[in-house]
Amino acid sequence: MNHPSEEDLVLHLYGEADESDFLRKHLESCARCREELAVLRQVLAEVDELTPPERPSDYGARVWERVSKELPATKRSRPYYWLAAAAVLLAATFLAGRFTARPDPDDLVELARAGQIRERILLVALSDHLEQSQVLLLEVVNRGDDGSASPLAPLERERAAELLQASRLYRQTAYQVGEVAAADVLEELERILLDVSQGPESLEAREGLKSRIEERDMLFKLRVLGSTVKKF
Amino acid sequence: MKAVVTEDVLARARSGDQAAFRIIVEGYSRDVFRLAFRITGNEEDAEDAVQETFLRAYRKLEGFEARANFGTWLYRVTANTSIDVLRRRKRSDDRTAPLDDEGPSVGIAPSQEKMVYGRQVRERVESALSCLSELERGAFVLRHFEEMSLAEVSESLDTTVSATKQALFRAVRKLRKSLAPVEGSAS
Repeated sequence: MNHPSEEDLVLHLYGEADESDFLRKHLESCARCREELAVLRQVLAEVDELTPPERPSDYGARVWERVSKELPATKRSRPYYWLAAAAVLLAATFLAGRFTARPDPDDLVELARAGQIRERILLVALSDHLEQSQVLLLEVVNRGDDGSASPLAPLERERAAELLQASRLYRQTAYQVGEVAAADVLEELERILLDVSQGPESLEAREGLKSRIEERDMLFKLRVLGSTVKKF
Repeated sequence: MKAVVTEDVLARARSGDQAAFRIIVEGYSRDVFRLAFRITGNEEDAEDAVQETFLRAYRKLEGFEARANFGTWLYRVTANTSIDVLRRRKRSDDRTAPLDDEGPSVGIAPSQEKMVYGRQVRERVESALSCLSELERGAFVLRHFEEMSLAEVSESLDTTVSATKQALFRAVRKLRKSLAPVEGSAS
């Protein structure tokens, strides 16, 4: 007899299943699956015991008291202004890498004058950086799914090293201007990119790297940060 | 979250009116705390998440589209902020010690016994939930407690429906492993 999977039963419990006759009829006739469903119900009912503690009647006013102290006197129009600072850093690095001489200060002044355009360019650049990082990590995670478990290609390691450099600049700027949450994600990303760039040799080390990416929900975190950046 | 502010208040808050934003904070604080507590698992972190949520909301309010549902939008900000707080806490220290080391003692009154049992259940559930990853916990809390559809959960967490489903499945599997009754005792 074909039994529905645990996933099917979870979706059924949450009313998200594609309620076919199969599942309904099966549950009517199969004691084992009814028992399975009962266990899941019992587990989820136990979770319901965890109720948030009560808040005092003036809770809203207390929260406002705390929040209002942190609000800026006037609203900033561009919350991700720190990216502009990173733009200058990135531009300087770009120029320094391109020419052996120090970058011409006039170039940086020009960049600084670019104002909103530069900020927009940087938003796109950071968004692109996060997307490229996601693509690379996804490749690392999916590597070996076909059973090959081959080592990382030199090109991938090179890409990781480039992304690592850019990530450091974004992270340093984010810390300096207090965007701690974004900086934390970039710091985590750096650790992963460092490992990728060094190209773990053994199968065990590669599996360890994959596990760390998955266990830390790294792809999810990058997606959330990327999505936040895109909104600005 | 139920609508507790008018469109006029929202419009004023979006333009930077702090008096209007105060109405929003006071109107939604309890709902934001409830969700933050369920995701972070403790009062201290939940309170941090509440404050950070409103500060983020204030900064992002300009980007909120008037046509969208403000409650859903604020849910999204709360969920992601709480996940950030949870992530920071997990990394900085491990505060998963039980609330109380006392176990049930012999000869206690029935009402006390019930309280002890209730506390043990809470501890078991808290411990089980603390084993979930941030994404698993976010997906589970939004689907189970807040009764959002999988599509809404995935939108709130900025992920796909498929990833949300998988996170929910993993969460239920882990909870079952920690909380499932002894085989055959389900009723």
